[in-house]
Amino acid sequence: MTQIDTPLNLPAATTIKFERDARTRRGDYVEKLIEIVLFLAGFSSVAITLGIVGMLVWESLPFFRQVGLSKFLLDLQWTPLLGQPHYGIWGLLSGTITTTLVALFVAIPVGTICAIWLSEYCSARLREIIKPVLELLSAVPTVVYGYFALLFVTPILQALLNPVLQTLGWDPLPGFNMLSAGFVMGIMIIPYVASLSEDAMRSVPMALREGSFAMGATRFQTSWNVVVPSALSGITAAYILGVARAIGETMIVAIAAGNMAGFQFNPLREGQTITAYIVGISKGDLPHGSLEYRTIFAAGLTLLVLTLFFNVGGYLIRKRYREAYT
Amino acid sequence: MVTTQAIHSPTDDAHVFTPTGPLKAAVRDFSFSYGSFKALKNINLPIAEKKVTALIGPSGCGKSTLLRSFNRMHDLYANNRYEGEIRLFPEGINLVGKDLEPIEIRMRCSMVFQKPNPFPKSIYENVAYGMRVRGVKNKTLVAERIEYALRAAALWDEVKDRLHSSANALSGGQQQRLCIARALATEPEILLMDEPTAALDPMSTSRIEDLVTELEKTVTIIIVTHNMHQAARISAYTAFMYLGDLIEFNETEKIFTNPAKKMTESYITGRFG
Amino acid sequence: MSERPSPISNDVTALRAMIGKRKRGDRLFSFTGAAFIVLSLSVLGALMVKLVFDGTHRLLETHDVRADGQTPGYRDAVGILSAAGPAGTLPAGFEVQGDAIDLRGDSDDMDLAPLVGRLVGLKGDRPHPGNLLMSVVSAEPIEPLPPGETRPGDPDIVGKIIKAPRGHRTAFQLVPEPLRILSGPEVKNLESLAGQRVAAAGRWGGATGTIKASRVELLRNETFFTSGTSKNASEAGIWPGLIGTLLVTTITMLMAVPLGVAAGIYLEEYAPKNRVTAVIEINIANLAGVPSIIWGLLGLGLFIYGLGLGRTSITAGLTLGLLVLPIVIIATREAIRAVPNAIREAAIGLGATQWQTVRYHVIPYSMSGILTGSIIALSRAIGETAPLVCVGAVIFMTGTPGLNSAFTVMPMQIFDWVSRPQREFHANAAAASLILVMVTLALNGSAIYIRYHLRKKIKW
Repeated sequence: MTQIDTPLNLPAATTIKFERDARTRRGDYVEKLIEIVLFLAGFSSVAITLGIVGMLVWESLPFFRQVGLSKFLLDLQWTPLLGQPHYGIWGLLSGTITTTLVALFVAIPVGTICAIWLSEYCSARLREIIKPVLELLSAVPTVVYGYFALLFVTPILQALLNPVLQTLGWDPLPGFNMLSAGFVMGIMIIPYVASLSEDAMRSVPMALREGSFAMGATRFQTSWNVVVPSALSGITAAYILGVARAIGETMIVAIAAGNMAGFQFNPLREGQTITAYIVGISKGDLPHGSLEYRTIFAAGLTLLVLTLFFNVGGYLIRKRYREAYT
Repeated sequence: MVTTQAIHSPTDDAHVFTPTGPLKAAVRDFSFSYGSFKALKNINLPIAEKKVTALIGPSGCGKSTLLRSFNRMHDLYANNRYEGEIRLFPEGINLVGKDLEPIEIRMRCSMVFQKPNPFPKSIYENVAYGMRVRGVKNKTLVAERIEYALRAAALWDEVKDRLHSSANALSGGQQQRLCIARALATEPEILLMDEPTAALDPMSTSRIEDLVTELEKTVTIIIVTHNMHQAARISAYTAFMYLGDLIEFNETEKIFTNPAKKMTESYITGRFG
Repeated sequence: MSERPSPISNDVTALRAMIGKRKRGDRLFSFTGAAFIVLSLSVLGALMVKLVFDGTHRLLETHDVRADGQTPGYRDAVGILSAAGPAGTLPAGFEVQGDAIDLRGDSDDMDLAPLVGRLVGLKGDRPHPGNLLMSVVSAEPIEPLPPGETRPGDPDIVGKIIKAPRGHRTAFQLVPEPLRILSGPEVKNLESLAGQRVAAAGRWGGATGTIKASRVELLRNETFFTSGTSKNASEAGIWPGLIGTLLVTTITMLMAVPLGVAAGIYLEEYAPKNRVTAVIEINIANLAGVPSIIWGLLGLGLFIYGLGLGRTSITAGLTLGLLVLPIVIIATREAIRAVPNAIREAAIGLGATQWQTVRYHVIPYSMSGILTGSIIALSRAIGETAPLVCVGAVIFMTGTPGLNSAFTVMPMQIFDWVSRPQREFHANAAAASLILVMVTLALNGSAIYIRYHLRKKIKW
């Protein structure tokens, strides 16, 4: 995963200018050709982005024209396949928000504390072993996590919570619920938060820590008062990227959270996220070009906007703080 | 080229110079090892109270190592070993003794580092850090001491209107004075300075040298410096070290005008280092 | 200098007590941090244990299928067996039928070789003793027995052994005499009985008639790995998923690695530091964070409907190729960036062109980093489900997926099985997940190893 999110201790790339001295014309052509080919490869990423945005907009435009943006944004129910269809994105957004919040509730405290421990307390040799193993947590295929959530975590949660819920007079935890899915999603995100935060903390110069220790502070005081504030933008970037990851997660929620979209923020209930909806519909067969078919693109567009917002934000924050320390 | 003959330990030497006046600390038969490498060999060094003692010598001579032993900074890293004692007066406790809590020592000896290292906090919170660590809750007391420390560091007039702004906004010289203020706020018994002006421009350097001379009246200072002219300017006593040994220790004037050892003379006349 | 301010309290005991408390807090935090790490890792352990517990038996089970992949079923056999034949000196449980026959008991290690060509009758609680299995391929309605007519004591199966490999499944050909086949829960397969009259009673509710069978076939024993889809959980396997995953990920890597490495080389070695490059860089960071299902929508809208490629393995491979492309690009860039400029300068100094420098000097040194990135991309591609659902991965597949045909992948199978309410299918999901997780962990582990090895070997 640190492959995806660039580490910070590499030297900044400096370009070497190549001079074109007199060479055979053929060699020159070959060089230029290679450069063009490589440029196209590089530019392909822009083409892909344009393709994604363009296609989502193209396919969902008829939907918005028919349903109307206000109904999309203000209606609280999402039931596009019913006789009386509702197309309010909040029916799905509430599921996404609820599962994401549960996931963050797990990932942020655990991830941050793990990061502080790895950065400030752990020996270098031990860290070299633990970090990669921790990252394995995020390498497990999410469909397997879905299995885990549905068939391991949910029964345990039911066993633990149902007595409490019963005494409170509430309904028992259903087989599909957002708490279980959010919890497992949080576990999956811990390595993102922990690894990126730990990178940020270790970039803090030792001199700063020594200054704190020299004043008589304990390791915990130093970590909390000096290291974490210094690494704050990197840690924030880690959190934001974790949020983006949670929002875009599909299989765990599709398997374990259920497929009943509703304006529901209670994690003890079933819910459907934007991503689960898209998958659920795609599993079946929808006539190409129908309104129901277009709903998945409208949902996809919403999802893209959300994740782009968080991803770009996280990237900019990381870029800014990386410059501060080089 | 100077030939380096084997230097015998100064304890063999009958005359280890002792300063007149009370001592604040005394290094006795002190050795220090990084892993298997013996960085300091049997150092004997008295530290005069409320005076500036300078440690000079070429790179790698161990002066920073000795300085950092006073406040147990080496405890932060693995595989370090202290041998011998560094006695702190008047109680005579051994600073490098195993039974002494490093945190307590660090609350009594403050350090200023080579590169200014203000915390990512406001000026106020930087200076208050030491007191927060000591659990001082009384707000007026804290504010009082902050003002005192900033005045002592000759920074008060420049920052008194922006105490709550970020410390990183200050210039290099100001940051270093801030670090000095931070170190002074808890009224340390010894102020340890590790090449405090090495990263500063000449203007800031001379301001801080004036500062040190002022502070001498109230605090015992041990300063490591690469710049022997600086040592000559501001210190009362100077110790010359080389490759882990204490070669010579005397009043600064004597060291620089009439050194006893040939090696010292070679160093201060610039023949090596 | 101003007057001395009020001193901080120098109460040593209070100070020591506070220090002690702070140190205890420090130790508590250290313990908490380590505990959280252990807890997080133990989730991985719990996952593995759960998968092993749920799925191992499915991995080890085998079952029998006919050549067309259908599990032979006794339901297929309906007909009338007319029994005949006097009993002779036979071991208990067997009866002679028609012309004299040898008897065989229910024993797995029966040696049928000497009986080839002979007429035998088999009876017993287990209608298919040992390796003798028969399968009905097709059946026709048969005339009912007159009501009340039964033929007790008829042998279960009478037939002629055509071929009898030692201790293996045997094909039976039933002689053109009427036979009676006893029903029973054990009867799994009945051979196709060409032109024979057979009857089965009991489970089939006493239906009788003549079975006309077309051919006799041998049965195959299949494992979880070699079987395809089935209604029965114990007979459903991951073969189509396995092949599909292999096909799709090969296409993915064929597309993503050359394109990604080329893009990475361009961005690091050729691209000038201008706005276009900056835009490309932000772009790639964006693409790395796009949720996987959006890639599926891209594949759906662009490849399937836009370009008309259809729901094939190729489409899936292209879609996943786009998904993992940013991973390869970023890994290539990091690997190239780690090569010191001194190497490039040395090459230029010797008169190399830019491409020569890149090809012969920079790339060889960044190979391990590129390799690591590719392995991680592969690992990601193998585990992806959501985009493939959008791009048309099917659940029911007969036969093997091909390049230009419908396809399925292992994660898709897992998704389907875990979504079913029947518990037996969950075991299938667990078994397939076990395989998937093992492969993923192996890939990631090798990437870690390569990265570690590379760090130790290359010292700039």
